[in-house]
Amino acid sequence: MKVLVIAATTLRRMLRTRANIFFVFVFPMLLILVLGATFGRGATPRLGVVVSRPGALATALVRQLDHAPSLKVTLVSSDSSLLSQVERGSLDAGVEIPAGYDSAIEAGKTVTVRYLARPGTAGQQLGQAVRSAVDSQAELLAAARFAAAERAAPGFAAGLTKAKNLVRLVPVISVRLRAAGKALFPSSLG
Amino acid sequence: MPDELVLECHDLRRRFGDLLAVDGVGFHIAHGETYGLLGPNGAGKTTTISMIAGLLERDSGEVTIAGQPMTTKTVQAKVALGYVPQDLAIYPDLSALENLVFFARLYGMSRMQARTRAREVLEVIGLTDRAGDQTKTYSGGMKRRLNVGLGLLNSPSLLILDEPTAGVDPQSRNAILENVAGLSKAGMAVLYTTHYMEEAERLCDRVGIIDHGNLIAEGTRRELVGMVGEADSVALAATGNVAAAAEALGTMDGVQKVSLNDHGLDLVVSDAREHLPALLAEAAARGAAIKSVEVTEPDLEAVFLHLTGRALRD
Amino acid sequence: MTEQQPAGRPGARPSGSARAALLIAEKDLKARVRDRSALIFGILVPLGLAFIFNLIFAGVSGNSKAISLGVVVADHGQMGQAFTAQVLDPLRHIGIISVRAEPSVAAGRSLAAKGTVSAVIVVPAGFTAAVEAGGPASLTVIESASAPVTGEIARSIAQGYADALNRVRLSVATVASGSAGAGLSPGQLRRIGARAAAATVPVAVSDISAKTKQLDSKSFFAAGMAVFFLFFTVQFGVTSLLEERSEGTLARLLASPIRRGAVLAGKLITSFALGVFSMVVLVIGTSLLFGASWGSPLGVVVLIAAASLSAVGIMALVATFAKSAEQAGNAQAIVAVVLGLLGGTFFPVSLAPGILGKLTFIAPQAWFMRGLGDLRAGSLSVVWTPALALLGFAVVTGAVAMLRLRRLAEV
Repeated sequence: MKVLVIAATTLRRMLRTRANIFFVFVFPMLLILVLGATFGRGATPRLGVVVSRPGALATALVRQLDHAPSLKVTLVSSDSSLLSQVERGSLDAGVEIPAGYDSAIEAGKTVTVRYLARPGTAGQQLGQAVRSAVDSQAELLAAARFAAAERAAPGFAAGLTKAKNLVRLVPVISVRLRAAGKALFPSSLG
Repeated sequence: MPDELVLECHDLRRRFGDLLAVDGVGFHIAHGETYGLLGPNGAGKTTTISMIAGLLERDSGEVTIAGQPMTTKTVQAKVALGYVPQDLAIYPDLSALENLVFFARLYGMSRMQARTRAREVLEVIGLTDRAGDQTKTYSGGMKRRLNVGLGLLNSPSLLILDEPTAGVDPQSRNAILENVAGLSKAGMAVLYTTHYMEEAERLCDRVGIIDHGNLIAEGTRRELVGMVGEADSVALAATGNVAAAAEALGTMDGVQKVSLNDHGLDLVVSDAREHLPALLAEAAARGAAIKSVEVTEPDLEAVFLHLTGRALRD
Repeated sequence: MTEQQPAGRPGARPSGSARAALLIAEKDLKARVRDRSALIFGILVPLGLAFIFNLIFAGVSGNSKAISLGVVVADHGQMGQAFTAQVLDPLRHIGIISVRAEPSVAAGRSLAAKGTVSAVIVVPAGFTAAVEAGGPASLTVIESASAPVTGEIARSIAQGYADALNRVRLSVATVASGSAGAGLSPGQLRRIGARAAAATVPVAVSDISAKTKQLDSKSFFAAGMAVFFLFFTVQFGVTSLLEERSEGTLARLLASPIRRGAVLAGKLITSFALGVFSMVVLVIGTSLLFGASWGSPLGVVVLIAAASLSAVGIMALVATFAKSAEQAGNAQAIVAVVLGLLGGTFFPVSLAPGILGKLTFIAPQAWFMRGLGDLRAGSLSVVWTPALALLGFAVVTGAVAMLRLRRLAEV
């Protein structure tokens, strides 16, 4: 009984100091709030895309990226702007599609699309999504070029149409994911 | 203002909310004079002192120290002032020497001058061998002595001491009183506040009695006592024909009361100093052999009691 | 003493405000240095926390050592070998990954579960057959939950291989499907397949990891802790004014021939000096002890000075609302913690989406962190904006604090 009285009085005295109320109750809540708002996965990751005077193929790539469910595409005007936005955090990652994309592909060259992100899981995952989108396009484009080269189609454009028709029918080689073990921190801590 | 006055203040007034702490206090102190401000706790002594030292804004009134006007913003007048507050004003994390050097330098002394002066003061207050220890390790009495020492750094024209012996052990208290007496003898003007009558009587040339923010009486000890008309107590130890002497004395000039006791006579005489020779002669003439005379003059407590109806100490 | 004493001792005179302020600051600093708690809270605790946080979170923002992977090739055909030889080996030679072959899926899974490897890639039995038959096939990637970042890399390696196979398959299909393909012999098909495999890839993705302005974790935590504790270190100056008032020494100061403003100035100088000094020690300490990198020294000094001024201003202002030194300390602690949290000293709040990412700049700490981040990537000139912002904080809060402090400095 006496123990309870001592405990109750101690508690009452503790609560009289406003600083204690702050540090014991308010601050932990604040911490969780800010932590969650910063690292919580509420918002879809934002991908910036820089593409100058896009042809049909470049536009198709951008649309492919936009269709990815795990990200949201924002068009950005220049490479430098993309860099600073990614670095500052207003964008989560960026993709630079070089000029002359269409003509280089039709000419049989390899076009390099540049990707940039901050280090961390989010960057890795967005990179994976970007690679998937690019590879979906690359698949069609390679097939189109091959068809034209092997004279299975009259030209690149025809080859592309043929490839698009076939891609729905051809069975896919995929990657299955499994997880093992326990995480030290929840993945949303970034 | 006459040259010899070190402090001149009049019309000092200060209100705190509803309370009028000081209401029209004024007095002056001459060079070499020790002036006591005597009053019970809460009379307004510290408030008056604070205004004189330029620590507290005045609602009204003027203060002049050694010819310089004193306000909370002026700087020149403070040069001549030494201040020993009631609460210890020393830095616990610094040594006595460091405390003294710091404040000495605030008085414009160079580091060397400050150290020299600090050592002089340490000598005077008797803290030379503990000078290097942090003051938080000092006893209460030692801290008090340092507190006084800090007020002496600038060899002030006027030293203000606010209840310097409150809560102090008798040994240190005595030391402080002796120090102050010595300073006074050396020519320093001192303003000394206290609620201890014995200190005021022992040290002060003149005393101002303050109560409820008013200076109700002022003067030398004799003047104050005389103001009130209290009589001296005279205790005569006598043998022989004491009764006859008693009768005769009772009719004499100045004698207000006579009473017999086992040892002799108790008299209440106004101005014993004047009348005592005649009284002793008369007593001897009547056949009493006087063994000893004890004259107890009325004290300031009695004066205060008479003026206010209350005791000086609560 | 013989004749009339001159007013005060010869040599005693009023002290100019600047001299008085510096004397007071010197006295305060002397006392502060003797206070052990100042050493602990100003230097040891921030260093310790930076070290601990760095140990915990270092893995989060990607370190560049070789990722350990396991591979299980249950497939007996050439695809499994091709995967190991043409995909994994080149990566191993560059040093991006280290590979250990495991005999079975179960063995692989237990390795991943223990965390010995970040992930295990499995080429299942019958993979080659399924691919050559033209039907669906799949690789499996078992990710270890304790290494989410590196597990993703394993996935992208496997996915890359699968995509290459799909690309060849589709290319072949354009030639060999339908009526045209019916008449092709297996040999012809194989040659078509070989040509398709040899064809140049039309699009490739190159990861040009940003020379990111956001600090790496060591520097982040060092900077975060340094600026967080700055706001505690500077509290001493103004709180000591309240303390002197209650201790009685303020009266003695005011009875001395110095201006009141000198007392305030002295306290503020003390705060600033303590702030700058503690931060400089932390910068040097974290660089030497943990290898945190801070960027151009001049830029760092500018930011430290500006941040200290802002801290002095804000903490001084908070203190003027308190009636005792204890109240002031409590209020200041609360403000310092809230601003530190919001300003991103514990974790980078500037990355937060939406309004929180903007709100962080209400706190001066955020400007300091931003300045440091920009400094690492860019040239010296990037510090002017954050430094000016910090000075803005200092001037505004300092001005208001001075007005209020004038009233405080009366006994």
